[in-house]
This record gives sequence, structure tokens and C-alpha cells, in this order.
Amino acid sequence: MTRDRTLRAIRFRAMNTDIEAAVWWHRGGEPPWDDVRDWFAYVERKFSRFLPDSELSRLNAAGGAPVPASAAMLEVLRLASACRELTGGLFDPAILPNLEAAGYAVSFERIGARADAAEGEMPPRVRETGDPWTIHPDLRMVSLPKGTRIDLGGIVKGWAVDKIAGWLKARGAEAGLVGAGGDLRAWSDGADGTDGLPPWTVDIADPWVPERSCAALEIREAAVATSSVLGRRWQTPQGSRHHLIDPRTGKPGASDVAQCTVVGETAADAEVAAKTICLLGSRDGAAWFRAVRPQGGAVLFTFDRNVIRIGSINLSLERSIRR
Amino acid sequence: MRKPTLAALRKWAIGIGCTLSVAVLFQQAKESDAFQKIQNIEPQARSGAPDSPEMTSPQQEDGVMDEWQSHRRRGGGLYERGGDFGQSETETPFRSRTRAS
Repeated sequence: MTRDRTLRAIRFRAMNTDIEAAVWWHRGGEPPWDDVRDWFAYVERKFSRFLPDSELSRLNAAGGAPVPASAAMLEVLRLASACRELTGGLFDPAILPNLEAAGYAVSFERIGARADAAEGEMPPRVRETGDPWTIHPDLRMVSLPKGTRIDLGGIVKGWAVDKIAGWLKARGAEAGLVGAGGDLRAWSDGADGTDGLPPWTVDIADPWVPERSCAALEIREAAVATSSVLGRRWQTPQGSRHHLIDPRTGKPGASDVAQCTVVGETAADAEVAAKTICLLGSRDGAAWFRAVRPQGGAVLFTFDRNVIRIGSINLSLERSIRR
Repeated sequence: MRKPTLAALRKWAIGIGCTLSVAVLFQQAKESDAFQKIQNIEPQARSGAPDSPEMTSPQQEDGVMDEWQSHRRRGGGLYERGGDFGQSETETPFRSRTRAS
């Protein structure tokens, strides 16, 4: 079966991260890479909080007034509602003011270059019930309460990967993989391996030396996402800060988990689960994950250098990281 | 018929006419393709049911991807403006990598 198909791959930058896509495509044909590039540029123009004219920025700046919403915005908000419910509020896009107060007010690449990246006054965080937004479906509009601003960065990369993976599959890619900044989705029509296509190999970055891999996974029909409190870190006069805000405290999370990789059905789901486990810590995070995703798998790296596997995960650990 | 009665009847007739016109207009809007499409996009938003981005088959309609493609067709393609976006290549075997994002 592989004789009439060839593996084609592309890598490029978008959404301030590395994007990669690989598909088994019929020989002589060119995969729709222009569409893939355009999709990620389209998503960035809608959901970036650093672009003042993005749809998200307009919603955040509306001061409580309803604003027209695209189908993409409505779908992501619906998904965010489901994730918020699934995580008991630990996934909460309304933490944006806290994230900015912690110093993450400009794109990560620019934090180090800014003199005012220092920590500001941390807004108190009171956990609320219900979504911070109101969707007016018949009018296709969305509104936020006055003073509320949201960041959908914790879910959009995974969602964008899931969407374009489905789109490529629908256009004839029988097997493929799409990844954005480490959140990836793989598929294969011959998920049982009978069509001769090899599985996808996914290396997991070493939490302490990210350029190095510390483990590898083999997947056919799955999504993988990794979250870490070591990656996006910056210094403030008050100490080191990272981008995972715990809505219970309004401050960067302080659990025993340094990095978590989750294998799930969708990249968005895996992305949210990995972040939630990082916030909950190894004991509560493992219990939560087993309860909500009994079929899923995860691997946790704790600050005391323990490696904990949860559920079914087909993982080969490098010798250097085995305990 | 007396003049005041005639005037009142005329007002009522105009009112009924306007009401009927608005009703017809709303009915036409409701039966339009655009409205039906929005209805198809929104059922879960109304019910509040959890959503998950699943793979779409060629037969399934996807309002998000349709909207994106329609944006491209209208000349709104975005990536060309972005400068260097890498290049297409063939790699065998292909290894992906997951790391903190």
C-alpha cells in the first residue's frame, strides 16, 4: 500500500510556535500545504491576544458590549466551556489579568527584552461558577462582563491541530500527523497496522534539557500534548514566574509536577489535561485523570526527578531518565 | 361612514399590513440557507452540551472550516503576508516531538 503513496512533510512558524505536518500522500501530488499554512495564520489572526485587531482582542476590549463572533470563536468558546466543567474550573480562560500581572503581558519572545516585564499588582482571584462569557447564538454574538478579559491560548493550538487534521483526512490523507508547539494529532486509516503504514514516533522533550529527548511514544490514532512549568519561565524582582496560572490562587501554580505529557483522543483535550495535572500535582492530578479519562495515558516528571506513568501509555524511556 | 371611523380603519389596515409584512420577512429569513446553516452550527451552544473537535468526514459540514475557506476565496488568504514559513520536504522516517508549549 505504501508503494502508491509517499510521505510528505512541512515545517514552518506560525502562532509564535513551530508547526509541523506530515501526510502519506499519493505519488506525484502535492499536499495542500498552502491551506495548512493559511489555516494557522487564520487562527492566529482570530485568537492572538498580542494582535490588537484580532477577534479575541476586540472581544476583550468591548467593555461588556456584545460583539459579532465567527464560527471559530463560537466553537472554541463552547469547547472551553466543556473543558472548564471537566476540570472543575482549573482550566479558566479568565485568568488573563493574573497572567499579565505575573509578567506575561507581551509575547513570550519579548518578555526578556522588556524592562517592565516585572511582576505587577496581582489581582485577587475568586473562583466563579459558570462561564465568564455569554453566547447569543441566534445573533452570533458574544459578550464578556465588563472588566473580564480572556486568554484562549491554553486550548487554541490543540483545537487548531484537531481541525486541520480532520480537514486533511477528509481530503485524502489516509494517515498523517499535525503538530503545533508540541500539541499534536495523528491519524491512520489503517489504525490496526494492516495497511503497512508505520506508526508515528513522537519524542518527548526532557523537562530539564528541552533540546534533548527523554522518551519516545509510538502512536497511530491519537493526540499528544505536553505542558511544563519549566518552559515559559521568566524572572521578576519577586522571583521566577511561569505561565500556568492556578485559578484557585490567581498565581502561577506550585505543584510537584514539572512536566506532563498526555496521550488522548484530541489534541485540545490532551492539552487541557496536561495543564490540569501540572496544576493539581502528581497525586491529585493522577486521581483526576483516571476519573475523567480512564482510557487515557500520561507521563509525569516531578521536581524530585520521579517519572510517573498513568494509565495505558506505550512509552520507551531513555536510560538516563529511568528510575 | 364617518370621517374619524374611516381614519381609524385606515390606521388599523396600515398596522395589520405592516405586521404581515414583517412576519413574511422573518419567515423568509428563517427559511433561508444562511439561517439554516447557522442553526446547524449552533445546536450545542443552545443545549450547553460539551463539545470535542472530532475528525470530519467529507460528507460532514463544518461551519468553521467553511467559514475559513470562504474567507480564503474572498481573497483573505493570510499566510502570504507572513514572510518565511519554511518549505515542503519529504522525510522518511518522520519523527515528531512533543514539548512544553
